[in-house]
Amino acid sequence: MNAIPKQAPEIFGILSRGQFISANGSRGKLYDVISFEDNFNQLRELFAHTGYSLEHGHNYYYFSQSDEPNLSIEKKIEQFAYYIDVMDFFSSMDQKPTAGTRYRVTQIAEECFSNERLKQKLLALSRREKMVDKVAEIAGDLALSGFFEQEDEDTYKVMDAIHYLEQVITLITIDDDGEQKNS
Amino acid sequence: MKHPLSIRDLVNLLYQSRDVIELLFGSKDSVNKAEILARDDMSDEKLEKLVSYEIIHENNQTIGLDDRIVTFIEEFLEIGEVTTSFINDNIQSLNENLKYYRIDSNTRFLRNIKRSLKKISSTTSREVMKLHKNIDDTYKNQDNYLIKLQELDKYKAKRDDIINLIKESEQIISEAQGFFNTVIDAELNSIVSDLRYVLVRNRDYLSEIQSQIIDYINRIQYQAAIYKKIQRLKELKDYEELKYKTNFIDVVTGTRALMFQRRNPLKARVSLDLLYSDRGYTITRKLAGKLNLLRNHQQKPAGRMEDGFDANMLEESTSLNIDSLVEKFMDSRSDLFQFVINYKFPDKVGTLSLEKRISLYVGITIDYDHKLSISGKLGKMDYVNEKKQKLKLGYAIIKPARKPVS
Repeated sequence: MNAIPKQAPEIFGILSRGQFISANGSRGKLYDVISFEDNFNQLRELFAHTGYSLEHGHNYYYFSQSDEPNLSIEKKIEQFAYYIDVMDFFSSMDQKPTAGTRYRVTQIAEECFSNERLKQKLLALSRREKMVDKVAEIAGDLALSGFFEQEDEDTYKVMDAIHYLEQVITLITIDDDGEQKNS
Repeated sequence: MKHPLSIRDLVNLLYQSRDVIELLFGSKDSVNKAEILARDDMSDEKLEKLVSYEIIHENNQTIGLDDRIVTFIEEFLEIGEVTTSFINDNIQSLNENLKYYRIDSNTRFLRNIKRSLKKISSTTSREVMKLHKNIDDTYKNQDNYLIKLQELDKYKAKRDDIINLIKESEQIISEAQGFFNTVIDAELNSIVSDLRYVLVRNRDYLSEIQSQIIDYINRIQYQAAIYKKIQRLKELKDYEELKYKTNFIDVVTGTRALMFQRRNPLKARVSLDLLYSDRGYTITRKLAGKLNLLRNHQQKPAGRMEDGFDANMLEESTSLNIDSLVEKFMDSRSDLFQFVINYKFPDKVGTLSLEKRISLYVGITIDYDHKLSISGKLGKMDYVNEKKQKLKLGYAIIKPARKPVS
């Protein structure tokens, strides 16, 4: 058995805020630490005492909690509905939000100017006045949750954690109602 | 009118107009004639000359590089589209020359065979490299996913073509192996074995490419499916049908990740022990400075205290050495009041006021009453206070308690 990695408090600090540790971000080092040898199991065991369960996704780690009050379920649903809007916005763009994609706020805003459909989506997403501010707000939001990471003032990079959203979306089944299908 | 052109002339011509050729090659679509003429290094005559040698074409005021030049540059720099025709051509010529050589063992044919073999080797490698480069490029840079998919499909077909050509080449070589053995030519043998090696290597490379293409296509399709789904979900959401037509609620309820729970960050209180320490002091001081709490407190903590600052206190305690006073009283025969009033205290205590002596008397009666015998008689004394008033003082006569005679 190895000793528990010394980065454990740092890892706990990040994950307990509901964030993700992605392999392709600035926290890639922590990702490597968790992935190293038996560390994942060790940390999982360690964190289990705190009531959080360390989970492994495709190139990312996160915490999950098994029991939760009803109130937060409502909030969760509300929030995910927001993510559907956001993902819809980004996936309507020429550049799709795959892990590693870099978005420039000004570039997105530019695209929204010329694309009326995108513009409408953006207007619904943020109440800021300027286009650039709207985009920055959304990107900042995603960065806060760990799906994006800000590289410099203007550039955001899509993290591996975006797979989490994709995964949840994959899980949702749409009733076949014979209505217009997009496939 | 086309003038005969030597290699030397051609190379010179190309060199002289290298900047224009670079420009024309870079902008694949034709360039406006006026733009070319506006350049410093270009004149009407020069342009005329280039057109007359068919290095560039002029059409309707637009100018483009001749296809042969473009192909030459692309070929040489291993860029551009993947074509299997080159390999194919070489295989054809190899076949022909083999046939001819069997009929007539002329070294001319042998030379052609060698050249074809070499060319097959180099073109195959080159096309495979190009294929890989293009696939990567398409996957990473093509924005539109439909075009991306189709391009990748196209490359997949090209890969199959190349594989077939490699197989064909291998078959020709193995069939001709007996014939090659009869020809005594060291160079031919080494070329053949080189080619075999190259072909095998490229085949391995191609199967790698194949799995890569499939991987890319799958990923694109997976991604595309997800994006479509997101947009569909969004549509449903806008119609407020999300809750009824999907299991959205169940799925999201089922997710256990912390991110959907707005939580209070863990808060730890400052350790009191830390605050008592020196580090705690510096921290609180810094904080107080930041909050401007010290603006009215310019003084620094007091410096070191002087030696003997507490000497007065020591003296006080000697003056009030009541224990020994009581001892002395026990040996005396007078009453306590008179004893205290008249006692000559040591010099360093100084003179005690009457009030102080009286309070000492009261103190002793309270603290040492077990050693004293209170008779119940009263004594009287006259005295003048500070305000020159004559006062009479009554006091209880207290004598030392006689030790019980045992």
